[in-house]
Amino acid sequence: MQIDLNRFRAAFFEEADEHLTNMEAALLQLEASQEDPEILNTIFRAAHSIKGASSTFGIDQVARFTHVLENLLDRMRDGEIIATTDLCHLLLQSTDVLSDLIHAERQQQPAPGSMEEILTKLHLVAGASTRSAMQHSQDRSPECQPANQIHQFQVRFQPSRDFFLTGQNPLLLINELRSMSQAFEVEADVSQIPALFDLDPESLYLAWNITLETDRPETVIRDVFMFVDDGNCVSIQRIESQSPESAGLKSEIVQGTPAPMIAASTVAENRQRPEERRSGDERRTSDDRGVGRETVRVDRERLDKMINQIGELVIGTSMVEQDWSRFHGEMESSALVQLGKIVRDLQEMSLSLRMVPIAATFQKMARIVRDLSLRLGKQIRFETEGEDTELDKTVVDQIGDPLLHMIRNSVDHGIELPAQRLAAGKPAEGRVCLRAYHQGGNFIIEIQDDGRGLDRDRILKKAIDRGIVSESDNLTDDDVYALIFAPGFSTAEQVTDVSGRGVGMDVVRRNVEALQGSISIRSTPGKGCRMIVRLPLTLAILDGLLVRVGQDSYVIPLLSVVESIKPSARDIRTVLGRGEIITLRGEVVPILRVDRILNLRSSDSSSDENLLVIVEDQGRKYSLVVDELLGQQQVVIKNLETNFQKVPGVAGATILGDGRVALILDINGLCSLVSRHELQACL
Amino acid sequence: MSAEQSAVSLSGIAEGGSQFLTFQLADEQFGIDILKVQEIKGLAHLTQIPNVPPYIKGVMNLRGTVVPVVDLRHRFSMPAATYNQFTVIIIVTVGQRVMGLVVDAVSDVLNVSETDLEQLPDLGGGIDTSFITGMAKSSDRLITLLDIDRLLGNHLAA
Repeated sequence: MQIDLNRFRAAFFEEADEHLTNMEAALLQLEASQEDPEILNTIFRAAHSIKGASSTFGIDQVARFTHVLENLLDRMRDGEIIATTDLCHLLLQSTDVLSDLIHAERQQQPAPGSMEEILTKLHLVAGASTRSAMQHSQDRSPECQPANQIHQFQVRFQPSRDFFLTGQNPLLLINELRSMSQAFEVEADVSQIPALFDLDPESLYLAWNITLETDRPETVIRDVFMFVDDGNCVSIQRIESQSPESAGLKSEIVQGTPAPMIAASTVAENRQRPEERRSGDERRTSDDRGVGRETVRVDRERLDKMINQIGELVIGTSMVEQDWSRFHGEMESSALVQLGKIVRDLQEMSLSLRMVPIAATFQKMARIVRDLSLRLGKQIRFETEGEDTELDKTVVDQIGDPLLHMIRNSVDHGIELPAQRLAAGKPAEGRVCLRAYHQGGNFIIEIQDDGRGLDRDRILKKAIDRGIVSESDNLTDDDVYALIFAPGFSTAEQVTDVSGRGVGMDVVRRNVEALQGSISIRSTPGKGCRMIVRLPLTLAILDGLLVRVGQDSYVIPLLSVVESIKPSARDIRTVLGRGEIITLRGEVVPILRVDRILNLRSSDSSSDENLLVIVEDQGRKYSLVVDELLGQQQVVIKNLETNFQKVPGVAGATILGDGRVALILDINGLCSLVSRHELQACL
Repeated sequence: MSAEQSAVSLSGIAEGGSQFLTFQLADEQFGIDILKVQEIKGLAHLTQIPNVPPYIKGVMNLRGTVVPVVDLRHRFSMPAATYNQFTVIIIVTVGQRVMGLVVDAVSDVLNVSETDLEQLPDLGGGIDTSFITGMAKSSDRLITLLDIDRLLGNHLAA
């Protein structure tokens, strides 16, 4: 049977990423509250999973590294090593190394050099504590096996017939046992192998009897079989003294059913380690809960194709509906109504497929805050709210970087050093809060800190120095705060490696706008700063205002539409013979003629019949001249880049109910198309 | 995908030579590699695209995909023609992109062997011939063979 290993490799990398994320999250928890054995178990399980999978795929470096890590974690689990802050730090660094190693492997690149250094450190910690554990071993309860005492174990390993089908390799398990043993003897039980005629080459008929001597506790041996032991294929018996009895025991196991043996060992374990047992049970129940929410990994491209096709189905259905009403007038078809409902439900469902909770992204931020605050000598409490809020996967993937920049900014520039905070009458510990929630069809992320807030004067001075604004400009607070998003602007007094290169916030705004979102800032000097990122729930669908300009229909994103008016000709004034303006309740708004900006051919617009759609972009209002308002509708966004190229002033295209293509206007791009000079003349 | 299907079914015949789809622009005959052709459509509604070269007539809806359409007469600076019932759009794949070509009419599929192919004579300065593979003779016809990737690829590279 030919197995495409590459497919499994891809799955391995994805799973490894997940395990690493879990591990990191648990480590951060561990750092905060040390006394929960379940946290350690989570970390251990993640490390063990990565180790097992990586050795299956022959990724030796990862396997070697996790092996050392696992040993250390195991000692921690047994209480031999206490999780200090330093140790947590080392473990977190280990996850970084692991992540680097795995990424290097994924890209088929050589492994990064940081591995050996951390590996040495891990060895050191594990080694040093072995000695200290030895000293303590006398007064430790039987809960933990003394590390220096060698025991003999008798292991009967009888995997189920379909063992190979689960992708397992018994040799790896046996080798792992061998690696931890001082003396090792294995004997294969071949009695179950059928006659060649009946033999199924994909089934496993073997069982093994293993006798080994090791200084490790029984749980370690049990952990080797963690992922294969479904309850009745492994029995482990400790042999107290190396007496000839063991031989008899052995034969008994071979002949008899292994079931009673397990019962015995389970009872023994129960008595020995009640705590461990309990957490094990908890784990099982949480796994049981997991069964209810089974997931299937699906290639994103396939998913997108399906969502696209469902979008087409919606359009197709509305085309049929239009045809129907053309031929039958007002008469309603109940079948069509039914169909329409099903199709729309289907579309809603298909869109929810792409939605994932933002939790993983928030998790990464927790790590960043922790590392940064350590490096900068600041005390910061990081809080998150609404991690379960769901958002389009594409948006989640792309919001990470901008969020990272903003968080760094808050930690680096916002939160003061403990001494400064105390002097300002604030608690020494700063607070950075990351919040996510839905509001009116939008997804909002807030980053709030209780630091020093934005310094209006300094920002203004810097902006004037840089020539971004002129001294004579009369700017509101919001205008000034918005300046930090201007290209090449940075107020940090010194360029640190954290932030302050003056690219950060500029890039942040561009990234957020690329996602059709917006950022606003609220800041109170001395009290802190709040950045609010507003994002669409999905990038696949847009609420739009359908308008006609010339012969074609265009979609204006409803998010940017303020109002639409029908002005009389005398409301419109020409400035310097070029630009046109309209005064709207005392506010001067420039008029943009869409047909001229877009150089549309065959436009026959006469200015007195026109409608104006007032739109807002980054706090500024513009009015667009359109010929007709066709209505408001949700449109499925198609990008033009797929088969063509990016077109300035156009955010994308959509297919209308009549099968025609309509362009979606990009207000921001449209404004940039109008030359700055011309706009200035209008204002 | 339909592009691949047509590619597979048609390439089977093309042993030793290539097949070209020939079409008419004014009174000239042109040919494009049939493996690049996805399908042939009647004229559909075209939506204008702002600020692009004038030979890009707009975008059309090809079963849910937004496909840009190039008027080849315009592209070759030939006199513009009014679109009529014979006007067709040839849907081609250029790299990963799908595009449409407006032509006057589609003629037939032509087998061109190496011996039928002639290098393009030097047309003198000023005429860009980089997107022409060569000329093919077929009975009394002379057909200009176009390299569609060169013709459309470089102008529309993202």
